[in-house]
Amino acid sequence: MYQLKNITLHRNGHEVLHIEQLDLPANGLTVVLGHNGSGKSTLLKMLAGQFKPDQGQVLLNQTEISRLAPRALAKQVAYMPQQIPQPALLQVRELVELGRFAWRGFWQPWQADDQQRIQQAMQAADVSHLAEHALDEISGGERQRAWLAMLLAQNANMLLLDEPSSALDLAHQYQLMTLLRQQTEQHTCTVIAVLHDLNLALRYADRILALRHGRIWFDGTPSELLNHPKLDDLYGIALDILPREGKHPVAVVA
Amino acid sequence: MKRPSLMQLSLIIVLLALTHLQLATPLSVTEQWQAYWQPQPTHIEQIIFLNADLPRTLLAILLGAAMALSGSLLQQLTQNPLASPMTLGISAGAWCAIVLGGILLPQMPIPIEWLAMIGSLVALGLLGTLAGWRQLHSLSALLAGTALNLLLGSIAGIAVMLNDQYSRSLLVWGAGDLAQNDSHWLSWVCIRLLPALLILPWLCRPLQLLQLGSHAAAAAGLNVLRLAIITSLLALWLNGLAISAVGLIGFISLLAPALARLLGARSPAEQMKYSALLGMMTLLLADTLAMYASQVLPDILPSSAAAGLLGAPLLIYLCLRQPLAEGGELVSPPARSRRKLPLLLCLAVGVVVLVLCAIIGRDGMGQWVWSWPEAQLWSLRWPRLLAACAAGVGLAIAGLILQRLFNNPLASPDLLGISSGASLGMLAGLALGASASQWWFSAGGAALILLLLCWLAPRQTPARLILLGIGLSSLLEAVLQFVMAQGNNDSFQLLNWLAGSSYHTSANQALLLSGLVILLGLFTLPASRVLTLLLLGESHARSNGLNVQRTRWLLLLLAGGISLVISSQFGPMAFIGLVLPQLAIKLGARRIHSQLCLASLLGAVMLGLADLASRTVFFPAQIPVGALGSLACGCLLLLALLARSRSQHA
Repeated sequence: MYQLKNITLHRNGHEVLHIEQLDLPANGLTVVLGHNGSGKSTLLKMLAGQFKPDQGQVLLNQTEISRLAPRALAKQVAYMPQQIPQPALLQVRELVELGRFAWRGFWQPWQADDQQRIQQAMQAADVSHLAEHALDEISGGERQRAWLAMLLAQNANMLLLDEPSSALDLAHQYQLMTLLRQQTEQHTCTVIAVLHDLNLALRYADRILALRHGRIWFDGTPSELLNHPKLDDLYGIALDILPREGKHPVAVVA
Repeated sequence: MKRPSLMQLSLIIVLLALTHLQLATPLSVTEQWQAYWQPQPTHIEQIIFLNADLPRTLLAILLGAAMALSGSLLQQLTQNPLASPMTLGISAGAWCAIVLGGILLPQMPIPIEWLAMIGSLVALGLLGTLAGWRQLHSLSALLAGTALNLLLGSIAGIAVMLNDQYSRSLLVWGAGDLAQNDSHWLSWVCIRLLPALLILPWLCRPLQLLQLGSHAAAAAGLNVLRLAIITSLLALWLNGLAISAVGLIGFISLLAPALARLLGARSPAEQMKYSALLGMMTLLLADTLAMYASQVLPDILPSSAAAGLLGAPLLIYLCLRQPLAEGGELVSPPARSRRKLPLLLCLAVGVVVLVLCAIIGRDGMGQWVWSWPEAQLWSLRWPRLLAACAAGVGLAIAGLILQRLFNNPLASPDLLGISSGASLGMLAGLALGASASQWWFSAGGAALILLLLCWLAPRQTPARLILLGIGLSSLLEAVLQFVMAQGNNDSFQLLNWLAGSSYHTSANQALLLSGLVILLGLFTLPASRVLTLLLLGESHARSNGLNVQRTRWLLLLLAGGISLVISSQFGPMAFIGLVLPQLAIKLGARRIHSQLCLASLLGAVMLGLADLASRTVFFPAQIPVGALGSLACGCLLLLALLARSRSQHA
C-alpha cells in the first residue's frame, strides 16, 4: 500500500529520517519500535501526509501522497496523534461523527449507514456509555479510546496510531491490541502503530519495524527480532529473553 | 554577529544626545557647556536651553530607560516575548485612570503617579482574570491585552467626549510629547525613578530561575508569587512614571527588550542593561525625529507617534517570527448539562426586549415615555436600532467563526486588524477632506486589510494572523496619536466614530447593513460541520479530510466580510464579538447551531439595549452605542470569569 523511496528529512540541521526503500503492504499489524528521538512519530506523521520529506517520495497506492486531496486521503488513511486535544465543547458522540466527514463532506446529511458505523465503532472501542460526555470530562485513556472510535468510524483501510496505548491501563492495552488484531485478521484494515512496550509488540505484531537514529535498523517478524544477535542495541540496554512454557516469550531488562 | 559592548552603546547614546540638543538649540556645543556652568540670566537662548532643551534630552534618556526596563521586566516575568505595558493593555489602564481621575476629581487630591498605578493594577488584574494567570506566556495574553486596549480606550474616549471643554488639552498630553518648559518634571521623575532602580540587582537571580518555568522555579525553592508581585509592581511603577510625566509613548517598552534579545542578551542582568541602553537610544532617536519633523511639517508630530512609526513595522516583523504558545479555555461550559436549550423561549424574550427598546424613550422634558413613537420620531429611531441589532448579530457570528477557526476563545473580529483598517481609511478620508463619502474610505481601508489577510491566510498559521492584526492595531494607535495631538474638530469627529456612534445612521444604511449581515450569516450555516471539525485543531482536522488552507481562507473571508460591513459603519467595537459566543456557551449552547442562534440573539438584544441606553441614560447627551456595548459585554465577561474562579475554588 505504501512505498517509500529515498526519503531524507532534516530538522534544525540534523538528519531525523533517512529511509532508502520501504514497502508497507495492505495487510497485517506493523509495530514501529525505537528509542526516543529515533524518528518513529516523524515517520508516522509523514505517512499521514502531515508534511513532505525534504527528498524522496511517499507513494500511497502508486500516487504521491501530497497529490491526494485531503478527503481522498482521509478515506484511505486514519491517523491518531500522540497528543489528543480535549476541546470542552465536543461530546464523544460528536467526535465519532466527525470521522464520517471524509465520506459526507460539508453538507450531505448523515445516512442510516453512517449512524450504524458510528454505533459499531463506539461499541468496538468500548465508549458507548460515554457518548454524551464532553471530551474534557473523561480520562486520558477514555479519550484515547474515543479517538480510536472516530478512526474506526472513518472506515479507512489504513490506521496509523502514534502510541495508542500510552494512557491505557493494562487491561485496556491488551483489549486495544486484541481489537486491532481482530480488525487486521478480518482484513477490514491495516494497522501501523508506534509502541514503546516491546512485549506488547512481540505478542501482537505481524511485522516489527525498528528505527535507530532515523534509519531502519530492523525489519521482520517478532521471532526474527528475538533472535537478532544485537538486540541490545535497539534501546542501548541489555535485554534477556525469557522463554515460557506454551506462551509468548517475554523480554526483560537484564 | 559580534554584539556591541555596553561602552559602545553608551557612546552612541552620548552622540545621539548631542545631536538631539544640537537640533533643539541654536547654541553650539561650547556655548551649551558655558550656559550650563556659567549661566547668564539675560541671555534668552541660554534660558531656553536650560529650561526646555536640556530637560527634554535628559528626560528622554531617563524615561527611555524606565520604559525599556518596564517592558523587559514584564517579558522576563511572563516569559512572553511580545509582552509590554502597551500590548498587555496596562498603559491604556493607566491613561484611562488619569483621564477619569482628571475629570471626576478635578481638584486632584490623588497624585497623578498613584492614579496611573491604580489604573495599571486594575488593568493587570483584568488581564490576569481574562487570559488566566498561568497563560500570560501565551497568545491569549496578547489577545486579552488588545481587547483591554480597545475597551479602556473607548471608556477614556467617552469620558473625553462628555467633557470636551476640559479635555482638549488632555488629548494633546495623552498623545505623548516630550516637550518641556522647565525642569520640574525632570526632578519629579528623578526622585521617583532612581530609588526604584535599586531593587533591580536583587531580581536578577530569581528571574534567571524563572526561565525554567514557574513550577520548576518553585520546586527549586523560589517564592514565585512574591517575585511576581515585586517585579510587576516595579514594572508598573516605571511605566506609570513615564505615562504621568509625558503621556502615552508605547513602543519603546516592547522594542528595546526585543532588540536586546536580537543583539544576543541572554541573562536577566544583560537583558536589563541592554534594554535600558537601547530604550534610551530609541526614545532619543524617536524624539529627534519628532523634533525635526515638527520643524519641517506644519503640524506637531508628538514623540510617541514618531516612536510608533519607527516601532510598528518592527513589531509586525517580530510578530511574524515569534513562536507563541496557544491559549486554553475561557469560560467552561456548564458541567454535564444535558438539558435541551429552550431556544423558542429565548427568542420570545429577545423579541419582547427589542420591542421595549423600540418604544421606550424620553420626551423633551426628560420624562420617561412608554408608547409607540410618532412617525417622525420613529423614522429617526428605527434605523439606528436596526443597525445596532444587525451589528450585534454580525459581531456574534464573526466572533464565533473566528474563535473556532483559531481554536482560541479570545479571538474576535476586532483583533483581526480589519477595524483598524477601517479607522485608518476613515483618517485618510478626513485628511483628504472628503466629508461626504467617509463610509467609502473606511470600507476601502477595511477591504485592503481583508485582502491582505486573505492573501496571508493560506501561508501563515492562524496565531500569526492574529498577531499581525495586533501589530496593525498598534500602527493605528501611532497614527491616531498624531491626529489626536492636533486637538481640533477632526480629532473629535474621529474619536466619536472610533467609539462606535450610531446617531447618523440613515434608513438606507441600516437596511444595507442588516441585509448584508443576514446574507453573510446565512453562509455560516453550511459551514457548521467544518466549524465543529475545527474544534479538534487544524492538524487533526486535516487528517479527517479537511482542506485546511481553503477552509481557513473561506472562513476568514466570511468573518472578515462581516467585520468589514460593521466596522465601516461603526468603527471598532471591542469585546462584543469576543463575549457573545462565550456567553452562549455559558448558557448551555454546546452545539454549533444552538450556539450560533443564541449568540446572534444575544447580540441583537445586547446592542438593542445599548442603543436604548445610549439615547436615554445621559439624556439629552448621547453616548456612542459601540462603546456602551463593549462596556456591557466586558462587564458580563468579567462576571462569567469571576463565577468560574469561584466554582473552581468550591
